[in-house]
Amino acid sequence: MNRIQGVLSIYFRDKWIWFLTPLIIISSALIPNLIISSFISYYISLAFILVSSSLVYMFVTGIVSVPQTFSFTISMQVRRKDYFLGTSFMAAMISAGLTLFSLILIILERRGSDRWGLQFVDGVNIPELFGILFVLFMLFFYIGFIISSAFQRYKAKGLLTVLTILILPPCLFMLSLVYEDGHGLYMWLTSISLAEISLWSIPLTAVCGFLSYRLLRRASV
Amino acid sequence: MSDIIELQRLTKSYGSVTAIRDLTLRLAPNKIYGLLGRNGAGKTTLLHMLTAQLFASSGEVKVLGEDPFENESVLRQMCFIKESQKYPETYRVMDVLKVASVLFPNWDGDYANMLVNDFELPLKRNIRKLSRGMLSALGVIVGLASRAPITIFDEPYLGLDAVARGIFYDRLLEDYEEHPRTIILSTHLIDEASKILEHVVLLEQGDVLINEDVDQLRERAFTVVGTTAKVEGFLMGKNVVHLEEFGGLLKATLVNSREAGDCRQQAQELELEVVPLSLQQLIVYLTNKKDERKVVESR
Repeated sequence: MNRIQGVLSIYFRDKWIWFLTPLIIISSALIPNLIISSFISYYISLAFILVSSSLVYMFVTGIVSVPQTFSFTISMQVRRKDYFLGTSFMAAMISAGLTLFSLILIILERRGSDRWGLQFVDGVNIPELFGILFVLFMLFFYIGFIISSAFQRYKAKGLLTVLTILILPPCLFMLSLVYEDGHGLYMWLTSISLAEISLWSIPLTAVCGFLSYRLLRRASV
Repeated sequence: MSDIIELQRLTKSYGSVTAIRDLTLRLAPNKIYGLLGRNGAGKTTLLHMLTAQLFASSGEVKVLGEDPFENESVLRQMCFIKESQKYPETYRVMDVLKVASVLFPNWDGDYANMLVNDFELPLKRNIRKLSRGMLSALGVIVGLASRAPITIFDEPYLGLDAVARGIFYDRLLEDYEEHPRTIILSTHLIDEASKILEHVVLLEQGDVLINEDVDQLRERAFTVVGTTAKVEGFLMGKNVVHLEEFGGLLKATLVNSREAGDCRQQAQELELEVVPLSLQQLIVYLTNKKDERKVVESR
């Protein structure tokens, strides 16, 4: 049997991380908001809430998947390459599922609603939207994945290095907003469309994925 | 028959600590090997490198004639059961067995079920709720039912009671007879395991101290007891690993060199009592002897 399928079977049997946790997160984000919105005039998009909670879920899943499964998978004599490909395939399937679910909600909410959050997807057609959300979910997964891969490879030093690289640029950017021409930067930031963000995300996703693989390739268990 | 595992000048260092030092070793196929040594001798490190779970600082590892690192054709023929095995937290016993059935090409499901019954393992219990002994039993079941051509057990029976350990030895021997394969067993319970071992590799501070068939080793190592004068005369020019004096008697354990004649015969002719020596006792003497030598050298 193909070893990648073997890695997938490891994930399919771990229903908590990959199936029940996203259901719980989505339900806990949506159900209270649905209940509240049925009683009062509600102005935040439920799709927006769903997408943002799904991004957090993908990020956290990326972090927990390596400590949960890497050691076990390698101990079952699976190649590191197959582990990476199998895990990426699993993440892609979950991302596609979350994207579909988000799209259905966006389509439903778009009908006669102008809730806050929907303006981000104004003028974007459905296939484009699928691509945008899918790429964003994968990016967040790989950001989490590179953090845990660095820890697996270099322990605390790796974790500290990756976190510094991931946290420092946004912090400096925010600082520059305060001390430099803050208004201009803010205007530039808000002028970027969702499609542009996702286009920029594609190389970033590829880089995070590739670096995660390189880190895991030399990681011991 | 060509060697199934070849290690050439293998070294593994962690900073200033060298766990494996310039180790060269060849293992033949279809034998039960005992990898013995004291704590910190480098057994687990060596096994991790054999299975490409750890990287050597220098040297060469060849399994089935190839480098095992990222080598699917080699890795799928190996099964490494270690004492510190981690499992996904939400897994139950049945999940581990199911995954193993997918990943090991020679997996025997019926045999695994039989072993589950033998070890009385609850299939639906979460891994986190298993006792130490049950975890070990799970590892043993995966190792045996995998029927991998190279099966490695690193301290597989921590926490297992004597009955369960007996089941492990019995099942291993039965299955080995039906499906011969290379089995490497790293253990501290030398006396128990010595019944099933065919060949012993003794590691001491990252190097091979002994690499020999058990029967040959048993033949070469023995203890003689007699009056001090007689025993001392007999021991001249022989490799003595342990001496013990009590009253006017001297008890000496020696490892005869392969070239020397029949020392037992010689001892009997001198009317010395020849006492059989257990493998465990011999290993204790050999590893202690090296320590004693080091103390002397450092003085």
